[in-house]
Amino acid sequence: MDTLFYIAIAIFVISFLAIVFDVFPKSLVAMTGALLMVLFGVLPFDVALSAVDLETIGLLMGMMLMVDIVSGSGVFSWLSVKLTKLTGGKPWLIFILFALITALGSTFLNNVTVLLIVLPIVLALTRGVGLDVKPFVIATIFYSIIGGALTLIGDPTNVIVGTSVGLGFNDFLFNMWIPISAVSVLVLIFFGIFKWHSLKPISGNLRQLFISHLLIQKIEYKFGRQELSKSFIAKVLLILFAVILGFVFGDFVGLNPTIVALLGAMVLFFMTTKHSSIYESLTKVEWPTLLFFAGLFVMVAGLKEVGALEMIGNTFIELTQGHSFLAMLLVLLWLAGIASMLIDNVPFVTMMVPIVLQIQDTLDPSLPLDQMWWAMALGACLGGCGSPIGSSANVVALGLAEKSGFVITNKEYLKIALPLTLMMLGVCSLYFVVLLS
Amino acid sequence: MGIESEVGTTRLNDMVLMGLKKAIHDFREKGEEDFLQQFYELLEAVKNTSPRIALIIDHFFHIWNVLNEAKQQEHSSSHLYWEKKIVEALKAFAEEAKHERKRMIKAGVSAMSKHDVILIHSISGSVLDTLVEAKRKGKDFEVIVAEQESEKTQQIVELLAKKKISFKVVPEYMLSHVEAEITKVFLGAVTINSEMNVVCDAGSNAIVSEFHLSHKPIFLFISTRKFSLWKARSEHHHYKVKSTKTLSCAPVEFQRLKFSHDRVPLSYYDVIVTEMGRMNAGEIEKIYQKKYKEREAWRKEFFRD
Repeated sequence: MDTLFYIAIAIFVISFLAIVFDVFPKSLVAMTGALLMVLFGVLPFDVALSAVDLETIGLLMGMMLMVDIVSGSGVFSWLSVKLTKLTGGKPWLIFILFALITALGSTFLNNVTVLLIVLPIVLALTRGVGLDVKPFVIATIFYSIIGGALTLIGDPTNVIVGTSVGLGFNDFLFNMWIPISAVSVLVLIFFGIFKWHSLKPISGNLRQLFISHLLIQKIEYKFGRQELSKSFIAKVLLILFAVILGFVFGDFVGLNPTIVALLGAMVLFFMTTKHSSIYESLTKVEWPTLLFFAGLFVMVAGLKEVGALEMIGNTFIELTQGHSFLAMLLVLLWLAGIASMLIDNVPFVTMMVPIVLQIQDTLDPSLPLDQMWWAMALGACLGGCGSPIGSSANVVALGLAEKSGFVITNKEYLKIALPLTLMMLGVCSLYFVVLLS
Repeated sequence: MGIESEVGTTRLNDMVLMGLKKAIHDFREKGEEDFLQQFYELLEAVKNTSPRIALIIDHFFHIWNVLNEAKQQEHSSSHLYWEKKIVEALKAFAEEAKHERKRMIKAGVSAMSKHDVILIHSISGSVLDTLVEAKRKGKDFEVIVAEQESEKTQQIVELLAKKKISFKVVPEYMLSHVEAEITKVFLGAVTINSEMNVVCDAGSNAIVSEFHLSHKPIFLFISTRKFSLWKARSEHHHYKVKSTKTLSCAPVEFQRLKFSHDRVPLSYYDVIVTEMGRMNAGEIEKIYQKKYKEREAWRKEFFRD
């Protein structure tokens, strides 16, 4: 092994640790790592540029632009207010309806965006009535991640897997719906059994009922007084629906999801010129996240260039040699799950994609090799629920709760989330066992 | 009752009564005593908010009174029976409030002159309704909104824009620059207490003081039902929000204090617009004392507070 090999490993490991421990902004670290790879000659500049997966970046950018316009239409706030009214202040109904809207919203939108809309209302409703907010906050986090895991565009790790390997929107939907439905039910049962005291009806407590109805009215007044433009909402819903159709049927006509997302955003800008501005929306695009992705792609390409990924892949094959394909899937699922609990799952998945591709080359092609992607995607997404730093959704939601005066300590979070996450990974394992048997 | 500063007392009262109606509808009591006990506990909680909101407390007292009278007269204790009694009481309040509001708006509109430039500040349903009615009647006036917390100012701005009322916004600490063009100041309030202080939105004190000194007529819009008919608490009951901030440009930490309400002497206001018409501070004090005595007698008869 030559010097470049060690340089590439050193750049990647130091950057990876700096990202994991939040020493500096992630995008800064990733971009610096990428530049160092070029500066030290690990990668020629043109190779580094071509390593940036513009398909992933384009899909994320398209969705971010669309989310900005859709949020601006007020349609989600309106929907949340309607749901609030529908709950009538009943804790179990608040739990179920908001879990549902969070999961559904997260299948198509960034889950942090969904949390920013839904969680303040959930917090206001539950906190005001004097309920324990913990189960509500934690369940909202879980359902935002679970919902995101269902689709190609629901979670950045899925975007990376899908666009890197060429798996489409329908591939995700068809392969993920069973395990995702199973874990959704599991979470519902878990909270229903272990946190029933926070969800049980309050119909015997006049004070709680009164505050609950008062808060519903306040929420209705606060969010409902916003004047909504019917034509704006109609256009937004129309394009959103067309984009979803594009994702679903694009696979059959060879229409790339990135093209669908970017086209959807552009058409939406043209159709809503009165209400939206591309200049404003471009400022809302999470450029640091996109630069973070770009930097990561270059760093991983650097590792590949010096043969480090091949080495890791070979080690993985050696470790799993002699074991069944199922065992390999389960190792992948749990490895991704545990890694996601501890570190940012985006760099992990970015690094793992070429490794898994390399492993697949060594396996019998008659095996259902695509299952490896689903195992990794499930592990990477769901594992993020397991710790307070497991995903950006957790960090944002716990931060929002703290801002509202409700501190959920790491210990409190782990007490509920860790066993539940392990159970979810257990259910996914069972799914693969049944599938392959 | 932090909601009050966001929506105004009158709207909060509407919300409270609607919330109570729905809560009673959903409530499943374990018998008559349980219901009355829980209602009494709710009343105690409502009585002890900070600041105490007289309008709401009075409504709860009235309902308590209705419930007790009904309990003595009838022997039915079904949930539907209590609900019916309360809904009847709530309907009566709503009807009464509607008429009062109409009278107050009429008194307010009649105080407006041609080419008036009216300064407003807090979210006051009575003030805003008066302006809307004046516009509807074709009165020629302009509004200056004293800008305060963005959320509150935004609510006012949204309403004025919706009703096509001509307005401009000036930060509340820059009002001296537009002082000359302002002809009247319209303000709302939470209550008037026994010390003849007006409890109102934070920032009102500075505005009233400034315009009192410059002899601009200051109008206070308040229903006599909002009077706090009990002895004012001696302690400073308004909440404070403390926060420590670190400026990004320089590592300076400091405390930022915020207050929910101001107390302004009633005598600083020139005209008090009520459902009984336009009055001065002296007349209001007389009405207050009369109501206070009536309330004391009533309280002795019915309540344990």
